[in-house]
Amino acid sequence: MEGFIIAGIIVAVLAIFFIVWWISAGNNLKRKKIKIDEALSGIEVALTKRYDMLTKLLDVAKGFASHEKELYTEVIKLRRGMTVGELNETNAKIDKLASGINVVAEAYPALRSSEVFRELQSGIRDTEEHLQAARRLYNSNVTAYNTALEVFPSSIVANSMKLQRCDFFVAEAAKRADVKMNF
Amino acid sequence: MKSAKRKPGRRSRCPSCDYINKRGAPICDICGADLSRGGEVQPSFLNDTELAGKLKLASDHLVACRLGIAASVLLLLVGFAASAYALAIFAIISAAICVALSLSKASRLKTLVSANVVRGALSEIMKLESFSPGRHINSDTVKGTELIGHWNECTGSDFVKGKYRGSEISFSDITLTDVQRHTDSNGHTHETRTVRFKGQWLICRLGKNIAHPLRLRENRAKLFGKGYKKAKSTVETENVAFNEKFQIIADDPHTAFYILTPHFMEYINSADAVAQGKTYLCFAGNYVHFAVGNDRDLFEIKASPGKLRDIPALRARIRSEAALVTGIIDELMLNKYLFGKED
Repeated sequence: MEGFIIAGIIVAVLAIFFIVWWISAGNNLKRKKIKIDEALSGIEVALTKRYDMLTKLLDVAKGFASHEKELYTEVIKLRRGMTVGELNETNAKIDKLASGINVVAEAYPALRSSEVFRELQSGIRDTEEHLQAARRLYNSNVTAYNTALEVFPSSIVANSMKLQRCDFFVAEAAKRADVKMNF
Repeated sequence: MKSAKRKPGRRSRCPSCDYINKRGAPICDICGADLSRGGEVQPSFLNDTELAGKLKLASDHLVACRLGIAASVLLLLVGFAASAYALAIFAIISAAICVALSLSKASRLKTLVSANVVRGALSEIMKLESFSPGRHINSDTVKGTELIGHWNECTGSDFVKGKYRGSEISFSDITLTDVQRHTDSNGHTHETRTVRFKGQWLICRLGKNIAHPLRLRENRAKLFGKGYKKAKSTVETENVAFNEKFQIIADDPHTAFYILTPHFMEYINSADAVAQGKTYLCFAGNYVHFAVGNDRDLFEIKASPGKLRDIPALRARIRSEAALVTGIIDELMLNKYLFGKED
């Protein structure tokens, strides 16, 4: 009789331990997912800042070279809750806008040497650094999350909750290609 | 800096080198600073010949004092041996006077060398604003970085402030000690002193404002095998070796990634290699603090008359010690973006 009681207590303790661990592992995975969402939001903020500054730069450039075709690009719409793929696409469009402004600036020394232009360029450089930081933070959080999904024993909890891996914020194919040097 | 006003009957402390000059002295006897104008720092005042002359005089006085001590001790022994207690008392008094004079001469010798040789060598490397052998970086500034914990006493020396490659820098030797006093059951008070940090503390102005502090502490090397005993970090970068080498504490992970770019992490590793000691970094506000715990004091001058006469060798040693600090800054400043040096 005593043996049954002791066995029952041990089983109960193990069951409680298992339940506590299960809840803890599940919460840990949820926390990591929230961090990813937060980091993604950080990328959106950085992209929005970059786009806003580029728009101001565009207006300054138009003041010097209103007839240049490169300065007339589509309006880029940024909204909250964009996915990684959508953010990548938007970033590519913003890169194209920046490239167009730089092409025009090369041809207009007066534009390049204007105080406002230089200040905005410095601001844009800062937003690009922040964007890089936001991307790297996002990727770091995704690494931590994906690792937790794959390693044992948290993978058991992840599979039961049907959690999926998150995508990394990857460089665009064009940026990954070799840089062509034209002389 | 407080101006050293000349008051009748009072000695003047030079705010530049802390030397206490004779009453009414218009310029500092050691570094040549103009005391009537608040001790404005002058360029290296004494040339090698003048300095050698002053050093010879000071070291001759020191030797004389030490001979006086030896003679007093001999006289004391003779007095006791011959039961001539008056002679013994006279010997004790003269020994005490010689010891006091010797300490004063040794201090003057060290100050003379510090103010001229050290200041001169530093002026060659950077735009020197002030050099104070007796001062150190403010302890509140050190405490504010929260890089080193559990200390309640801050001592140091050789405070340097100036501009290096266009950036404001200041550094000094710092020792952080945890002093604990406890009283036993017999009412006796015991004091335990544990040194938490001893080395150089360098502060450099950044070209950016860092709103959320980032702290890096080098982990201790493993006792057996390669690698480091990893302390818990709040941020993990993509550089696995860097994560293992440094504990990264960031109030805001975004700021950590903003500062710790892949290139800058390599520059920090290079600066750590130059430092030759356990390194600590804190990026906060407009400044970066770089602390090197190497258990050394820079620019230490031993009041040994023989060693002090070779001024070129002394100057070369000071330059090589200063290169420790400038080497660290050179590595960090490779990050032109953070230091505001971009075209």
